[in-house]
Amino acid sequence: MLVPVEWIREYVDFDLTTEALAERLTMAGLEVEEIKETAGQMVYSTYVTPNRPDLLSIIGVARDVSALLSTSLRSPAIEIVESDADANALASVEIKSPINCPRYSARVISGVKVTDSPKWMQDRLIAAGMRPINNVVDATNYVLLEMGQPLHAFDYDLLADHKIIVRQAEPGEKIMTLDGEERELTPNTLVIADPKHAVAVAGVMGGFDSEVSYSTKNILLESAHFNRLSIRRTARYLQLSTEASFRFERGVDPNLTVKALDRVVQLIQETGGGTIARGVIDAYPSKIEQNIVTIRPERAVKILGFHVSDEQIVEYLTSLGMIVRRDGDKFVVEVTTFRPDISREEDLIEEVGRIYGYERIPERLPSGESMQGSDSEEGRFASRVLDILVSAGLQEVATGSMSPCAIGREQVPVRNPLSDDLGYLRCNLMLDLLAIIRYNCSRGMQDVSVCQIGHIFGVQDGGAVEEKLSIAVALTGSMWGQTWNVDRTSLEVDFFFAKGIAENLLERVGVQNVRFQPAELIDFHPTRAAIIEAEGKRLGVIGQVDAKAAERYEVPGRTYAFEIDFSLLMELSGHEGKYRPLSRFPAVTRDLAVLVSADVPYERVTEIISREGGELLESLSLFDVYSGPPLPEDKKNLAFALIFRSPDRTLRDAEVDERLTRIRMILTTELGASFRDT
Amino acid sequence: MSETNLQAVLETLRQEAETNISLASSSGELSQIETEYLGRKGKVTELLRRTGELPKEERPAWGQNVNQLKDQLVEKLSERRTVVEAEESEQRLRGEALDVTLPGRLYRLGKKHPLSTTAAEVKQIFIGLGYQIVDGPEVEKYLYNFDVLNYPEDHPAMDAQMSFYVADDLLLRTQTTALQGRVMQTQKPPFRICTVGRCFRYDAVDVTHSHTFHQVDCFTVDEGISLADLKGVITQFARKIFGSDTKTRFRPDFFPFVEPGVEYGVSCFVCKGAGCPMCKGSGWIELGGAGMIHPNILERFGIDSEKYTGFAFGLGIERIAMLQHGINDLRLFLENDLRFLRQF
Repeated sequence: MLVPVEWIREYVDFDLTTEALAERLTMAGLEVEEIKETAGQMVYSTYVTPNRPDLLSIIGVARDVSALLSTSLRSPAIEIVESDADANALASVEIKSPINCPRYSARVISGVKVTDSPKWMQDRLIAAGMRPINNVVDATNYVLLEMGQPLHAFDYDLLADHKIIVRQAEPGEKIMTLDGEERELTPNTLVIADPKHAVAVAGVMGGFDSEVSYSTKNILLESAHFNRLSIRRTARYLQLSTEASFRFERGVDPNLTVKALDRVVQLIQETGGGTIARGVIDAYPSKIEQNIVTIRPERAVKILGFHVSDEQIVEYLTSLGMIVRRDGDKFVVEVTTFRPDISREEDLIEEVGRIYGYERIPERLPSGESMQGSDSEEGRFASRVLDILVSAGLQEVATGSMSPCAIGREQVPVRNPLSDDLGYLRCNLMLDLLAIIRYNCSRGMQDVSVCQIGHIFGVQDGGAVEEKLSIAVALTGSMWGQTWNVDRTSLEVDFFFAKGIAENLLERVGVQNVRFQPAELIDFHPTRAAIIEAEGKRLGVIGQVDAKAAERYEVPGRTYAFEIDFSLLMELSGHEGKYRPLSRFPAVTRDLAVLVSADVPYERVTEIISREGGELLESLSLFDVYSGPPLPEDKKNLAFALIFRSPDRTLRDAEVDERLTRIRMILTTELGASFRDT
Repeated sequence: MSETNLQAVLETLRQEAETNISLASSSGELSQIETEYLGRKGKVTELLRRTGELPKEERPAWGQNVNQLKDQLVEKLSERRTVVEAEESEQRLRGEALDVTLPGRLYRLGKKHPLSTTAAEVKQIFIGLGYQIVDGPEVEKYLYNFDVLNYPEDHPAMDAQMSFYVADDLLLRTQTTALQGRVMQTQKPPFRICTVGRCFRYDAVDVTHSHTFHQVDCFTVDEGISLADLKGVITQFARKIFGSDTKTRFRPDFFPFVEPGVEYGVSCFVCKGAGCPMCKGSGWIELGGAGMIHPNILERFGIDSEKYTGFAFGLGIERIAMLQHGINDLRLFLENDLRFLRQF
């Protein structure tokens, strides 16, 4: 709200500079975001928290100033002279929706000369950000700003039967509002109507047809209290936020209507003459009572953490407009109805605290039983996984949880997406990583190797949303940052580089019995992809992005990726570093070159070597895979280095050779292998 | 031959050998000299063989003289060898010289995302203060995100929390505070809980706004908890992140789930409160919302609000990371430009 500083001074004296007062108000909960000069006046631009509708008026601000500075608050002097004509005979009000309109008060003033409002009023309205219109409308806006009560002026003569009916709109009912827009209403909309048609959208905007104009003579002034939910929903439905709706949504004092009417007719009469009909037409079926709340000084100390005296409690609450009565060792407080935010003891304690000043709060650490802090199990495992991936040379990235449509079905749609490319919750992380490769490659990078741990989402069979953590890696180009005198292409990542990272991860977290099963997978090269299994469970997928997908995602053709289920990995993970005794006896090494059909998987060969090598075979490592001349076309040669060792004796060459002979024999009988060496 | 003559030969040989040794400039030459004089067919060995030319009584003295010469030459050779080898080694090393200013061959080490690093740092501080880290879902029930947090039905307070919905009662959580109800439903006080996670608000992306951001929520419920404890914990945290002379301040603010509610800020770590561009001249940096947990929330979960009180506060990970690194554009975090990420 825009608050002209001099206007505040009308209701309270203060001896502070504009800046100093702004600081005091900010530190007491009314944030002055900016001080500016408008129409020759210093104006505060305030941010009012949604719980404090009372601060949406100049008097409300002045009240806080008076409480903060312990000075008195002056209410505007309201004196009106009424005529003999009975307002209740001139017009009537019927409330058909008492829940949405608990109170409707009105006054009639006749013989008004509609003209421009005086300059002092115009200046204040302009400083507060409002456009002067005429003396009647300006007076309603002036009182709105001064007291916070939205008002509306109708041309009395344009109201059929001079009767106000407060009701829900008919289905499809239309009204042209003051801004010249024709608006279609629904039965959820509360309207002000005469017996013929709607004349205003209650609490939001008046109607065009009954507007006060320069030819208006007689006026009916509305000062009502509307249900905040009804107004909020209507304003949202009409996409129309006005000074009135903004206040009603937050809660206007139901017991202010008559005072505001008195104030506005006084101002209209001062500027436009006319006679004020006697009395107020006041439909108020059931009075809204003020809250009675108790505050205990010891509870205040317990919450605030510092001592406040009984006298201070009484002084502060009284200065905020409440009536405080001692009752034994506590105080009973009648909370004024302009403070709808106060309904519990804590609310009063906050008032005492903020007027006293939060800078008085001491610093203390919670006492009592000391507690052992720790990360969550997922958090600990996630940092373990991330450390491994980062140490493998991957850059961690973070992508949004909302993404474009990837696979459509089984993806969770966002009902109100910000844009099309944020229309779904992501169902995997790999596509996000490809998008990052695209982003960086399009900016001239060649080497992009990234990883991410994050939430992914899916639709379960019953339609429920499933959320889980996932781990993904994607690579293209080289993992080497800087090389010279080395052939770049020899350093480029390939399928086995990606697999090596995956294997490293699985081994480091202690997953056993890992298998890479060849598989045809969506978006992956049909013969260069695998399902990663461990303990017979599907842990994830790995592969080279296939050419079509690479084109679609605009990533290089040689892009590799894998994605692993986080929870399953955590479940299958074991302890790192189990000790095995080191043998003190020498090793015997043998090379073994196995010539097999090109379609025999490496794993079949190693299974046999391991099995037949037995416990004396300490390790086997592949050092060469070759196919091509002079080998027959459908053959490949796998060369291994085998290390044999016994934990408790020195092996004899003869017994190692015996093993090797058996390995060769079994490879020949089971796989048709032959041997090129020796 | 007489002894004197033979003695003269010995002396000549000594002089010749010593000259040769001192002139030798490589270990190869020295080896040659060693063989020439001391080898099995060397000149000194030859002198010994000539012992028979002397009379019997002179032979022992002669033998001694020759052996003495031999010892002397061995020593000279050894001395010279030390010098020559040192020279040779120095020369060889000079030949092996590298231009050590050439760049290293770099296997690029990976790095963590700056938000990840900051989140881990923040978590570590709260773990040190006795907090248990608990994780919550990103897709949250409306119930936990709003209802149990004491939001009045359809209140303007929700205007700052515009949400993405995936079902009538399911949304992308707008605040990690949503975890409070989940914890209170299953645990009994006292507790100190901290959660770090992703939140979402219906906000167009610009330099200071994002539809996706990361938030810490910390809360404590115990007997005798007051605003002073809140201030103490926030100050401890702020000092670990921003330096040991950091001060904390509160000012009243409103969040439905706390009463009293405050916004908290810390003294500017750049200007120490004097006012600078970092703090826009105010000397203070606003960090987040906090307050005493609303008794309505405690009571909803059957916690005796007379016996137990609690505080809660929130914190933006992006905000901390931006302050730590001087980052001025929120969009950079989710854009994942490697030129940005590799700076941290």
